[in-house]
Amino acid sequence: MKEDVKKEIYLEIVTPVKVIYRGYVNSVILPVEDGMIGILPRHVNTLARIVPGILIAKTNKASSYFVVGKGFMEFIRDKAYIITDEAEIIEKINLDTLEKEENELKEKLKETQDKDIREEIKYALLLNSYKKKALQLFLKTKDSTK
Amino acid sequence: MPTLQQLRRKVKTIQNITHIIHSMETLSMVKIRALQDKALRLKPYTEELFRILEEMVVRIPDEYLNHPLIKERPIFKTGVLVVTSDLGFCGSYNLQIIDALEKFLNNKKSQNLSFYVIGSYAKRYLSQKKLNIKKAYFKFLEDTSFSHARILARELIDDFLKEEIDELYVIHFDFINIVRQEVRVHRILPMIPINLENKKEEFFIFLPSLSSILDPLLNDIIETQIHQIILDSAASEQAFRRFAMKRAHENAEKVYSKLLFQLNQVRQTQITRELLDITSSMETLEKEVK
Repeated sequence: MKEDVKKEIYLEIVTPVKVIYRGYVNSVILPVEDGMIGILPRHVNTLARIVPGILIAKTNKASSYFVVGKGFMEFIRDKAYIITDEAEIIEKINLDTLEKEENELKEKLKETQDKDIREEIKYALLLNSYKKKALQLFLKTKDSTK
Repeated sequence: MPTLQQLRRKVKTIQNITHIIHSMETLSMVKIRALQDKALRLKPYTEELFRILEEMVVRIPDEYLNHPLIKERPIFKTGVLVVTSDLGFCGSYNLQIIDALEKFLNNKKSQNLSFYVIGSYAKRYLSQKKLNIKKAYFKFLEDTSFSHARILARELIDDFLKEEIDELYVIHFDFINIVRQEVRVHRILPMIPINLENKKEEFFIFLPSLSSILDPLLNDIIETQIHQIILDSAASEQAFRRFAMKRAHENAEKVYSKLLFQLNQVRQTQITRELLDITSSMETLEKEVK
């Protein structure tokens, strides 16, 4: 007989603006400095710095895609807390609006000389590119399940 | 007794003032809604960061606790960040802050203090008392963007690391809800997380490494804390202003109705007097004709 193991992780994604996600999932894949790490239930306690990238939360039925910015991840006793300055769930994103935003940001980048603002815009552009990638991934998996 | 002309002028002035006060009230009501949202939404984020720090600190080796932002050092100079408003018309908002500051000064009399100031009210007050103002920032409560908080936090951290200050206190308003705001005086630097005694020997892995997490985490915490302080203060300021304006509006309306009554009285007496004049002159005329 197999030991009765917990098969779920409690996942919480918090940003300064709001709590993006709160719920139980089966696994999480998230971007850290050296690449991606996957977390399954009963993973060893971890504290990680996360970098901008794509975060995938998988449940038995489906997987949801998020784009996260800089931040931290704490995994302790089957609970994962993700604290990041920016996060968005991909399902709500529209490709057209994304491209529009990207063009606006690029134009702003040409206009401004301020170093801090330029950095902010570059960061937003980076997140935007990840959103695009994540959207493609999301659409692909959606098609394959059909 | 004032003349009709004077009263008319007065009534008009009061009317204008009431309009202005009323629009100020509505304006702060709109502002408060946006700010309250921001301030209350940031709270879970700040709490989460602190929780991580607390859980982390009890599990890391002692040598990492020597991080300059955590470690307590002998205190020679104390920095104080005082948050007040730039504009008036906000009731007892600034007075309550100054009150707390006075109490704080009484407790810390002997120490070498330097002040960081947000808002012109505190600046005026402190320069009157000839206290050492290190830096003053304005318009922070109008534009509460994160970039402002970051600038301020970086300067504070820089001064702290350069040992220009050995600890940092903040005096500001804590926004609890729309009818409740409290003055808070607390120390944010150096950060001493609670429960250092119950150290746990639990296995923990750090990615990429402990030292590369600790530094950005601590910086992030201070930046978010400062942002929270600015948002709380801004929301509280608007709440105070709204209440002050509401009271002023009520009073202005009272004065207005009183004056209007007086005006009507004066007008009526004038009319009666004129009528009396006319009738009496008519009577004399009639007598003369007879």
